Amino acid sequence: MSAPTGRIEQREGQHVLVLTRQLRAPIEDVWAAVTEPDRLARWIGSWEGDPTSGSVHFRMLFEGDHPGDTMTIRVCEPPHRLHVTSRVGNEMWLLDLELTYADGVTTLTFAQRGVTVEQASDVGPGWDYYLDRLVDAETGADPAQRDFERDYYPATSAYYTAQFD
Amino acid sequence: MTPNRRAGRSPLTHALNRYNATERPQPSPVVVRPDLRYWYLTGYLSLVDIFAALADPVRRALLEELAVAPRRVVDLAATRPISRPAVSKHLRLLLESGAVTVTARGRERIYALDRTALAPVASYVAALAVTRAAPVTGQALDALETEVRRTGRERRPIAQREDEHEETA
Repeated sequence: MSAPTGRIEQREGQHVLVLTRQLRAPIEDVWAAVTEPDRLARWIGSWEGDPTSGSVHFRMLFEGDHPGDTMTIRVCEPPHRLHVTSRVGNEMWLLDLELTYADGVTTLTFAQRGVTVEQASDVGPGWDYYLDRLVDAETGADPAQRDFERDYYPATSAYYTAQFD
Repeated sequence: MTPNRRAGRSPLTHALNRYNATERPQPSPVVVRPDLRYWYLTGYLSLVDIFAALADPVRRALLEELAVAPRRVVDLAATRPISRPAVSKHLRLLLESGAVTVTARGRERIYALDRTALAPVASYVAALAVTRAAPVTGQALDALETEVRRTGRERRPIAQREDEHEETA
């Protein structure tokens, strides 16, 4: 099992899943890692389309036969804030990425707003998995060493659902 | 190595796959299968989409009344111009959506609102309310691209090797 890192916060009556990662890298590098197709492909997936249209088609690497979904760009302020809405099946996910930089370290804060307890049992482990892959990709480690079924799900689901009590 | 070989064990869309795989009566009107009558008592399996459950004005009115306090069928039927069987039918559908729960008290059945079942709706509406495209202009992207190129050339992240560029999965 890989130690789960996310926390469930209460904001305006909603549950917000928050995960952070720190990288000893310039903020522009981390921004590139979460926006550039080549860099995204190393840890989570790829997008195609024209961002100036307001949305792109995003497809993740390990979501089975899932054909990907529309990702709407709500806020794009390089290199600090990227807020998107991901249309996933019949759900809409509000995903907020914030980057801050201090003393040689960039802190990435990822939030998914409005998660339900059922979602959290899946997306909690899921985002831990992908963000660990991001750190691997950015630090020269091999993201392929991560095993979702062995170390994340369902091993860490209870950690997330327990935070709803 | 592919960590997730089977659809349904994927990191983020697992719940969705499970949801989509759930057998539920389609389309409405809903037929309640006799062998499913105890499922709702567990409050666990949702056979009816919560959005479908909320689509009907009679069912919304029932939920509004149950939001005030738990009620019996006879109480719920007393204040509306539809038959008691009709109310029961709507309640069965609400039970299957998870929006209400039922408990037996002697021969009576008490229906109550289960607010946790409404969370997906609240989440969906909240997302819809704030989702609009950012004014991403072509110039902003050009500037970003230049920035990214500069960064890529001058400041590689620590321990990142050139030979990793090929790796995509």
